[in-house]
Amino acid sequence: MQVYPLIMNRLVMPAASRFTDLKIWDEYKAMMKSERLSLEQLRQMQLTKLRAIVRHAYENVPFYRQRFESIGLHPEDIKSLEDIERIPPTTKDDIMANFPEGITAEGMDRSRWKYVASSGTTRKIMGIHDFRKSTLNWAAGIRAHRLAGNHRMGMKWMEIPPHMCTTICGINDGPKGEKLSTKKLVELVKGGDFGGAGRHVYEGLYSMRHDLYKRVTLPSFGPEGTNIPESDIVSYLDSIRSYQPHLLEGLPLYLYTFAKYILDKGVPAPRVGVIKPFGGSLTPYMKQIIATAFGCEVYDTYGCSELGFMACDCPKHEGVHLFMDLYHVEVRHGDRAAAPGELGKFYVTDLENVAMPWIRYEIGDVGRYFEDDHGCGRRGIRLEVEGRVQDTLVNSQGKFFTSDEVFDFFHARKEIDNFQLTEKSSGRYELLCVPVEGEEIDREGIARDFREFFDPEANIKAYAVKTIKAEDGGKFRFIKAKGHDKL
Amino acid sequence: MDIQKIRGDFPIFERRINGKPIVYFDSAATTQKPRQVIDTLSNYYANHCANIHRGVHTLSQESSELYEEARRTVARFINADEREIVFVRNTTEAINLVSTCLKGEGQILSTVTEHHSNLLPWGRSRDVDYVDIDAHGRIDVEDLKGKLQKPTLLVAVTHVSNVLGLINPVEAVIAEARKNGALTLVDAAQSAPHMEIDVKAMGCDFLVFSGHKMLAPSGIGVLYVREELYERMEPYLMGGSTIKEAHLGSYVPEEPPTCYEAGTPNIEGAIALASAIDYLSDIGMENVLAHDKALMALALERMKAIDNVELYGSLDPTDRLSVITFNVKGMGCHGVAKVLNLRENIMIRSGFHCAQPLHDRLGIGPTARMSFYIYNTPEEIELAAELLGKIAEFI
Ligand SMILES: Cc1ncc(COP(=O)(O)O)c(C=O)c1O
Ligand SMILES: [Zn+2]
Repeated sequence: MQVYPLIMNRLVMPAASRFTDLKIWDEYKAMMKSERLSLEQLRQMQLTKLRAIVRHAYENVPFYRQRFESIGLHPEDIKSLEDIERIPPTTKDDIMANFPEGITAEGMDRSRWKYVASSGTTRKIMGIHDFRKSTLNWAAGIRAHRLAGNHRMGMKWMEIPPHMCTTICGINDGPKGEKLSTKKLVELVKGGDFGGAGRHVYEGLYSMRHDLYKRVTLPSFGPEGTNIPESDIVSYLDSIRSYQPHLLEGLPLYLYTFAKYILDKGVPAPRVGVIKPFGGSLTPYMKQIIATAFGCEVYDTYGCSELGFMACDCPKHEGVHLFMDLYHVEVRHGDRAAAPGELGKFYVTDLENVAMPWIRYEIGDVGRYFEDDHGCGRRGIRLEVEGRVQDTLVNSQGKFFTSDEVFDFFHARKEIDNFQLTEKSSGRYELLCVPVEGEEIDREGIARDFREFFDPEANIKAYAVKTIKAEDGGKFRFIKAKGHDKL
Repeated sequence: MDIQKIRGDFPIFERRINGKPIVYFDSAATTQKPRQVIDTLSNYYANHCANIHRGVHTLSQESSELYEEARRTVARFINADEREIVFVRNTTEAINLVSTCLKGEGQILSTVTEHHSNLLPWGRSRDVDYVDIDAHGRIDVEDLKGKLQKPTLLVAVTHVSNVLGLINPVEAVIAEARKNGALTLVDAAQSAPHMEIDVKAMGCDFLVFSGHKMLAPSGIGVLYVREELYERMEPYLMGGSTIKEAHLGSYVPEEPPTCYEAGTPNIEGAIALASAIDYLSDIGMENVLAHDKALMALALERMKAIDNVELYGSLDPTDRLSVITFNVKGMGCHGVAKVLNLRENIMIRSGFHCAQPLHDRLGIGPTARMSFYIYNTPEEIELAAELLGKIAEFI
């Protein structure tokens, strides 16, 4: 290992744990231990934590107390993990209608609580993390880096997040922390305020976290949409090439665009240790193209800003292993629990957020779970995340098609570079296609193949366009579906 | 002024989202529309639709008459002559028209508190300098005096800032400009909706505003040109209605203001703007102003009392009109806007409000902004302040 990462991992982080109340390192160590537990042990741990958080929510959080009382449910009734089904799901609307005071625990010390929200104007959810939850999440981030791609704190890291319009609209409006100051630290310690000193170290490290992590951020594709000029792609690749990050993270479409370019033009790929998506997950086809183009491992992680890091890949790449010590995830198909491998909606319970409990939170993602032991050594259940609920299509026979499946179907066609499929009124679909250079859109062929793939009755019309525009927050929606509420 | 009756005129307030009414606090961006204005539009389409100035038939004559009557209504609204009123799309187009057409040498003086629409058009082909603001956030007349020492063609100032809501000392600005032989343009986008404007008393040379910020549809705006100044202006867009006679290779220009309204204008927009002005005049601009000021005083008082809320600009309610800009410590402005929206349908703005240089000058990031109008009530402000207090004092 290089010197800097060595110092970070062997000295700075353990020292912070030892001398301040910033226990990231201790938590990380404990989490790594839990990765070696059996599925049974993990489930036992989940049950203990679930019962505790349900009891806590019932006793301290007005929203949950009213919910439970209105259906006559008592925390004691939750005796097994399956009993969680007796609790009604919590929607984003439920959260925001009660945020903050109705959905957070009463009577706690709020001085170190933090608001969390995804940057960008579109996502309609906010959350609160208390100090312990922030610490755990920081540790979970280190854990995800370590397990999925062997990235350690201090190794070079480059990211290309989606948010556009960072200056003009002022999207990057997060609060800025205080900088670490030795003078202030000495004063606090001299004055005997060790708690204050700890807090100061935390704030300082937090505000410096990008530098500590050797993390460099490139601007997003911006308002041009999917198809940016070739010269821009070249300059992204140059930036990556000259920084040589161990970890490259980016919006899936960005990574996919670079990969296609490298393969099409036969240009040498920048040297990168590992690639991961940021702000969305990769489809199987994307993963394959990116891995081939860059000649490196591609790992997946799963999480969101309101909850945190929830799961990450292993070298077998058969879904992301859930951090079962931190979260409980159910997959439900209609009004019943999905079987392993069956498609459904995710409901997440955060087992550690005491300040703002999330119990059976409808996160808005669809996918499948698997619990078999595939031999990598980690026994947490694996999730296959296949897209957002509102991007899931349903055909006239009631069969669901996830956005991953539809994405890979269209991208398997040689003439389609990028696309966006919009479900208009039932049975009618509009397809915008950016054709591959030198190719023509085969309207008839697309219509015929789509009917065969999706629905014999589907009426699809294709139009050639130059680019697919991003949504407000800079992310892309390639499938805009309507019938998903049946899921 | 009967606020419940006024609210009854606005169909949007009958809408419920998640079972709750809408609290619309974004009128500085655009206002809601009363039934009278909506009816004017549909009545025009149902009964009078025709192109203007081009036909002898009944509909064309009715349409032309309604359009010209609208111009007279606007003229009376700001105490101008009808020949001094040019219909444009919006404030932005009006400023671009002046910056494109005005002949003459010398710098342009703008200010750091301007909307991008009163900054960018000037920079395109002229020398521009920017007057600073004073400690309260208003235009600094002393700084203006200094900058006027250089030969100056025109001073372009906003009457009321769309970020700080402060009423600028435009009379003093105009007097100083006059003394130095400079022309003046007043951006009244945020003032015309709220207070009586008298261009003759004010003494400005150009004044601009948008219909959509005063109950009228989008796509109709007003440029007031002091009549003598037409002589100092070049033609703008050319085509239908800009000329009296056209021959291949030569033409005789039409008289102003028509010559600045190339092509078919937004006829129904102008007519609906007149209907909005009638609506406001029925209430009385003095009553509108008093109402908006009372809301502002209440909002300032409530917001000042909340810990962790930072307010920008002078806190004296007499300095301000209809706009209040703030941040909650530890929480981004978009987060604040989201929570207000999702909990109580309180719709506020967040970002730079098209005035990034002012934010830079104040050394602040993006901000949250509430703005009020005739249909807002003290109860709505109490509701917003209460919720804001919960969020701001929570952590
Ligand atoms: C002070 C000011 N000037 C100009 C404008 C631009 O108006 P419009 O978008 O109608 O052209 C606005 C609108 O926000 C404004 O507040
Ligand atoms: Zn595995």
